[in-house]
Amino acid sequence: MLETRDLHKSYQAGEARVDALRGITLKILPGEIVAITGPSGCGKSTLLHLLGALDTPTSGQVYLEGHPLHSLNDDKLTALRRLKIGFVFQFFHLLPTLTVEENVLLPLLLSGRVNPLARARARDLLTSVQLADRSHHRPHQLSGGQLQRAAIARALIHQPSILLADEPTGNLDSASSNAVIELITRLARKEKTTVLLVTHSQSVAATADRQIQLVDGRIQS
Amino acid sequence: MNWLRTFRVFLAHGGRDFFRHKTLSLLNLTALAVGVAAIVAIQTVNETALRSFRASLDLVAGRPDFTVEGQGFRLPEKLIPILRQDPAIRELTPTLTLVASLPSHPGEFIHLIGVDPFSNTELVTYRLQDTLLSPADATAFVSEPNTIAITRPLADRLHLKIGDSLRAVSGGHQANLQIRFLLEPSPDLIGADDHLAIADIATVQSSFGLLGQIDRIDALLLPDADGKIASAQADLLTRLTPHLPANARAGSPERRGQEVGKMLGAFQLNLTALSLIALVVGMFLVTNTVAANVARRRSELGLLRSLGLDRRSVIFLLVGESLLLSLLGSSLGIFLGLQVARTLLHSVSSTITSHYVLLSMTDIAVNPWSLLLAGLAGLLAAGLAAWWPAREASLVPPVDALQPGNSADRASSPRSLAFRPALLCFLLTLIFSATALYGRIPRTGFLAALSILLAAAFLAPSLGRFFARLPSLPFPSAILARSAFTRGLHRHGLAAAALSVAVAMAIGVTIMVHSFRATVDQWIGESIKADLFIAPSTNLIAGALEPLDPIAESLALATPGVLAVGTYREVRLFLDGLPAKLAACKLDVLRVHNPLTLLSALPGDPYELCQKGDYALISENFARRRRLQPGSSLSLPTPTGLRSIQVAAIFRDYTSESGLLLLDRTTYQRLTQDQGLTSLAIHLQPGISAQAVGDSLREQLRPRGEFLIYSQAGLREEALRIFDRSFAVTTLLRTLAIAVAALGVTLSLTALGVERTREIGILRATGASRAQILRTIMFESAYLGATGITLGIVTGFAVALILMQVINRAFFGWTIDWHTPYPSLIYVTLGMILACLLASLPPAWRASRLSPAEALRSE
Repeated sequence: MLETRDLHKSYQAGEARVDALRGITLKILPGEIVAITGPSGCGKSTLLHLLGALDTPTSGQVYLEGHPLHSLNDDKLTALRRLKIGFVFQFFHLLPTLTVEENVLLPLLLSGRVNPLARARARDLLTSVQLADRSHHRPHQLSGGQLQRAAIARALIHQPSILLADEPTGNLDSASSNAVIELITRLARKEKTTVLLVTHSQSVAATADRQIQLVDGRIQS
Repeated sequence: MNWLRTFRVFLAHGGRDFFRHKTLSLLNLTALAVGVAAIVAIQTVNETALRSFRASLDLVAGRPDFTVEGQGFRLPEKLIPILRQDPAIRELTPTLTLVASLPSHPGEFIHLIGVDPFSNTELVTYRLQDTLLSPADATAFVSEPNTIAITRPLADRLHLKIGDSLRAVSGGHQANLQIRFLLEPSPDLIGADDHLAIADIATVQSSFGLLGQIDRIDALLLPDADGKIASAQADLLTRLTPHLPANARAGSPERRGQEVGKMLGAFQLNLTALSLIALVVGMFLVTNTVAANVARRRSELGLLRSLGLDRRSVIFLLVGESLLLSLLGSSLGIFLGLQVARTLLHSVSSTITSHYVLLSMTDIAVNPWSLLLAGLAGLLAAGLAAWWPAREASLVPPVDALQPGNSADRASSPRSLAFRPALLCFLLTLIFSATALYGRIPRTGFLAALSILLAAAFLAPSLGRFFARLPSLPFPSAILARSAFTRGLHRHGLAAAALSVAVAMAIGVTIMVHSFRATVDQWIGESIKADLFIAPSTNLIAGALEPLDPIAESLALATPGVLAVGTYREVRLFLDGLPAKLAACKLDVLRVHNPLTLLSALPGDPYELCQKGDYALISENFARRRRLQPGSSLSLPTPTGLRSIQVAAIFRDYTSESGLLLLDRTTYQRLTQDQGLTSLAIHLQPGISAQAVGDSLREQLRPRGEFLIYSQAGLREEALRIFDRSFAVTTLLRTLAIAVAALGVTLSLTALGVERTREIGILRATGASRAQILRTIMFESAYLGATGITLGIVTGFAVALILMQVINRAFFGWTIDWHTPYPSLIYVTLGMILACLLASLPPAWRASRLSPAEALRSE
């Protein structure tokens, strides 16, 4: 369902050229939960951005359900993100003036699909992440763990094919981290969503079906 | 605090940040530059006007110690020997001035000064150049009859050269003058009127029927026993006063310049106040930018604090950056301002000549001190504007500043800028209005206007919040924009405040100018009943200074079809220390054919009273400025002595800012011995064509020189043209303030765009398209615009009320009827909405082009 072939990504940092990814070839199957690990600066987030249609590779190919992400224009990439991809970020990134429920509905709002059915699904998801009683709260009224659970609900609201999580527990205490990872895996399996998890944490990585370790922009194992 | 260390941090950190965010820096710099440019332009034009007038005075009279001048009317020549006998006078010289048209050069005139070349050698500040362009002996003036010297610019413009003759006409007298010299003013007399021409005083007297008359005597004094001139001046004045006619004004020559300054004071103050608005708007923007800067660099500042930078150094750093920016902005503003001043020169020169005093400004006079002050105003504005957000930043504990998260979430709530300060400002508006109207402190009227603008500014965030609570349009971009606007109120509140100030100013001035124009137009329609008007051609460009050829009256009376001829005479003088116009009419003609709109009068027929005795009709602004009522008395200095005149009635009039004292022609001539005319109003019999009579008169008058002959419609058109020209500068200043406000919208959205880079990344990652980001920011701009414009419109009405009912009444005393210019208001509003949308395009475009991955990395 998600495949890369000899993926390269380079940046120009001042006069220096940084090769963030150096020939990544991988294949992720539908419903699989994969953890990408590696030291800081090894290219984990860059890979996640390329897989999530947020960035384009310098060379190589990325295919999401057969769509060649490396050759699509911005509109098509946007449409794919809107329909097929969900994101969870380290710093939660909820819009502070929207309520929790509105934040969850955001992807559907952007695609003009907010209707009673969508609202019911948002409520279901919020119940699943144990935030039903917080649905009309604003983000600043929630704890870090609660914010991340709301972010997970937002990432799943539009039933994406793939969920990309960038250090989802990086800003949480251990109890909240466990709860969040348990939630991601449980919901992903329930929704049959493929999950790609970038993490530093070995314990988080251990919950995945498979681990991919990056070192210096290359897959080590 | 170690200043050197802080300065190093400033250079290394702040200076680089300035260049890192070039767009923001440039926008800010431009906003300040436009604000400073407005001040520089107005100050330079004002300065040029005064310098030009003084230079013209100094050109012929140098810098005397003592001056005797006839105000309104000329002085008798016999004063010269009286002064000459005084032991304190070392040297004296008379001058005689008139404006003459040049029939061979239509539309041109000379400001002819008769001088005594034998007695003014110590005072002259010009040189005469002959054909060989070598300095000539002043006595050469009298060796040939009718010799005249003109300025080189005039000679070049009229293609005249030494040896040519020049026909000049004034008050029905014609003279063929011979150009024998060119005038070369001394280098320090920059700005002297190039219409100036010099001839021997005897030539001027004999050629223009002014034998025995002079305008002024300038004298150099011997210092008193203590070597002081000031006490010699005072002693001389005491000795001379009994010998001087009532209309003579004697004293130090600075007085004349001060009087002109006073005459132009209100006009110049109005322009200065308007020019300051652009800077006030600019100040809001600087505050906004510094606040944005603080928010964006929150963690950097936290780091610097944790590394040992103290609070005062944080303020120094941020205020210093703002000052650096304003230094560049002010420099650019000074340059721009001088260019704007050049473009305004003609308009202001014509306005001053029409309303106050003959002035011809050819190039700007730059006063380095004025430029320095304008630059300092820019620096001060930037420093003050930056201080508050800098102080706020300095108070954030380093540990909080280092916490990750969205800085905008942590920004201080605009809730604090709310009703209480707005109410206080509103109360100040009432107090300042009262002191302007009843406390005789007119300048506080401007403070009233400033207070109401500030009240609006304080309310901007609250109104913004109100708009954000209204249901939004059912589009994703509109919903997101509403949420973004609410969260960005800490930034948008200031931009909306700046916008509201600019819109209020634009709306207020638009209503005031429209109301004034409509009132004047209506008044013209009611008060101008004559069919034809005749005036000397120089009236158009030199003001009503050249007398009308008296033959015009007799020709008009003899023309078939003419029912009645009204006469008008006008002189400018100072009464009770205030400038005024003394006018005379044939009141019997006026009463029957063109009755005035009387506002109050003594019992009986005021026209009859004026015809029978020393009574006058006064304009309402004349009455308001001097607190006069029908029955009040005032002293009128005339060549026949100081005369007591009683007010018979007060009438509505818009012809003079300084006010009009109108006498019956017979009374005027009896009191002043002045037989002159300024213009004629001709009433025709029913059915007679004004065009035909006008053509006939034009034909008959052609050999006598150039004349303006207006139809009723033509005069109305001309009056409104002068009106529009008078407000041309106002329109420009209004545009500048709006331009600064539009820049504010761009600035605010750009600052928020920078602040929200990551958030835009989130939206893009969540599926927002570029078009949606673009539309979201444009909708956000619409919220900002709606807040600023709505508040601006409401405040604009209040500003108009203050301009008309407080500032106008306190300074000018006119009644301006309220006329709401709905179409103009719609245009201004639509224009502002368009400006907001256009201003939002660059930041919206920029945000929509952000790469989502780059944006997410910005965390």
